[in-house]
Amino acid sequence: MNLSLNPVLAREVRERFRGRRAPIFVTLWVLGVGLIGYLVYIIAQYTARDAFGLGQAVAGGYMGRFIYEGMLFLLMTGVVMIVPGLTSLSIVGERERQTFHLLQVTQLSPLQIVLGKLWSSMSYFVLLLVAVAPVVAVPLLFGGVRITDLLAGLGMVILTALMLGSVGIWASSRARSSRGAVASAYTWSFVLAFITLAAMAGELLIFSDGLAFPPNGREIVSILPNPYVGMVSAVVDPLGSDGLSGTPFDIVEVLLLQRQGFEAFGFGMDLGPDMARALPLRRPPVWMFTVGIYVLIIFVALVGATRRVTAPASRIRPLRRANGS
Amino acid sequence: MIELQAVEKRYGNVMALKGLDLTVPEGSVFGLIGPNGAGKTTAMLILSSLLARDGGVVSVAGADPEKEPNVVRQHLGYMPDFFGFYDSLNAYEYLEFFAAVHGVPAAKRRAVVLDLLALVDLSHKADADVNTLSRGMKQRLSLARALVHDPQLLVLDEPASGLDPRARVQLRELIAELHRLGKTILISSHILAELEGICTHMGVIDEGVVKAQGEMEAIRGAFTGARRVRVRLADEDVDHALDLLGARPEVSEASIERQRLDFVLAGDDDTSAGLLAELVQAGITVYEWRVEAAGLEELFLQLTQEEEAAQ
Repeated sequence: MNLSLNPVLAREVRERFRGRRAPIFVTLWVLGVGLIGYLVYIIAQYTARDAFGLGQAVAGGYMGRFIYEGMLFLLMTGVVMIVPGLTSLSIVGERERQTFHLLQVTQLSPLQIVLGKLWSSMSYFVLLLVAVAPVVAVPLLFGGVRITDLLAGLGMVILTALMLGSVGIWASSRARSSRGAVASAYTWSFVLAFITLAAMAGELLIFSDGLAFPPNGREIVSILPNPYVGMVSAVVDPLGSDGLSGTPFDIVEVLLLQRQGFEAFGFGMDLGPDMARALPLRRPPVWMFTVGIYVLIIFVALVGATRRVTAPASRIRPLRRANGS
Repeated sequence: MIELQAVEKRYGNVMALKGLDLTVPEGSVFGLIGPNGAGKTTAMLILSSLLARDGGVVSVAGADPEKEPNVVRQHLGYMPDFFGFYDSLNAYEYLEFFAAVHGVPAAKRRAVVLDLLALVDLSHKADADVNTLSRGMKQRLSLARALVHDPQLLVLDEPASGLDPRARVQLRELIAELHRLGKTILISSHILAELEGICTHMGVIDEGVVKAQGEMEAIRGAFTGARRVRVRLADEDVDHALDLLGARPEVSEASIERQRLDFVLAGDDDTSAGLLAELVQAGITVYEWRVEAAGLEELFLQLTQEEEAAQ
């Protein structure tokens, strides 16, 4: 299948970028990311100066790392907040515009319809990513960040976007109103991003004596699909060490260290890469589970959406009208 | 071209189609008439490969819409009873998009779209946003969309619904033109006057079954038991004629107004000719003898009344 020629993708892209809404949103996005990036830079500057009082070279590397980690958190939050909105209206929107049947009676396969919708949303997201690329690349100027770190972090951000986009398409294919589709897509997004963290507290309470971590040697199941934990895990080494203390990833790094059965030294402390490499691992890194779970979710969501789009259908579900009639 | 045999469709506890039989011959303009809720749209959704049936056999251009939907879609252009439009696309782009999704090669699309815009008389609106078009124009654009892959068969669900008289006339002309071009057209409506004059065949559907179907004239012939006859006579012969006709069992509802005698004749053309001959032989001067063909509305009422009476 030649995806570049998918007519649904071509029309969606044309429709999405025509008019003033897209450039205004992209401009606001770039300004927002730039502003937050600047704030992260200021915080990094203060943290480096107050905590270490180190020379320029070390402080520069620390700041690069700090900004890089802050920007990745920001991008991941952007994915969690924006991608469900980009995809959740895709199929229910066709039904509300009464173009759904018109697409179904064409030579397009249900999978082509679904993928056309997904790629158009992803292309918009990639545009947002490219638009802020100069801001995200700033840490490379400071040092302390390898290009592989950057690629690993961005890879997890893009995989999460693809996963949440697929879930959004699936929610859209099931929904009977645009409001329901948006609510459903954001619910799934927030469950994965935030409720899993709350579930982790639940696991601790249920399975541990006191607040021992991990709970009695069990795997902490609830954090495995969490996008933030998965991203940090992909960027730092399996024992949760980025070689620096007091950076934004620290809160997750402590979690990753304890998951491997080691006592945490407390927030703001770091094993350092040499010690981390010398210690034996008890479990595979979290990102491996996260990637596996996301690939499975993408597959299930796209299959589910494709089934919903397939015609002939056993019934044609009516849309729920906005006025509730 | 279309064959439905004993087709059933159930929505929960409601049987929308109760063994529907329908045959649409190739090259015909087939009018499917019936009241709201009769099952017209359900039947069209099934043969357009959008809805699965619960029973029966369906063949469209030789293919089963459930087993070979893509074959059916190659041969069928579907126009639902609603407009479906995208924001921010003009009429040209709208048709070009549907040409692409129907698999029309990129090199041919421009010519196809321009030809279709000319056919539906919208060439001057090629650059207009579809949302700015009038209802009649949108309906013609929808028809162009259904034709974009040059299907042999058109399925039009209530195409004239909501159109003003001028737009209806334009749509009828367009359908007639498509018939001349050799298309087979299945067209549904609950406004019976819409179909009068453009259909070569018709089917009456009510409560999920087809009550009657066939060529227009054959249908009329089969249900001419209630044809109205209007007769103009010499003044002095009116009472005599009324006595003669009133004695015949096939005559009912006779009424007189000046020289005119109106009655309902239950019988065919031979019965009508026999009555006229009888009056003439009785020495009655007949200036005018006019048998009015039953309209679709009368036929439809007759069919559905028979059903009600049977119940």
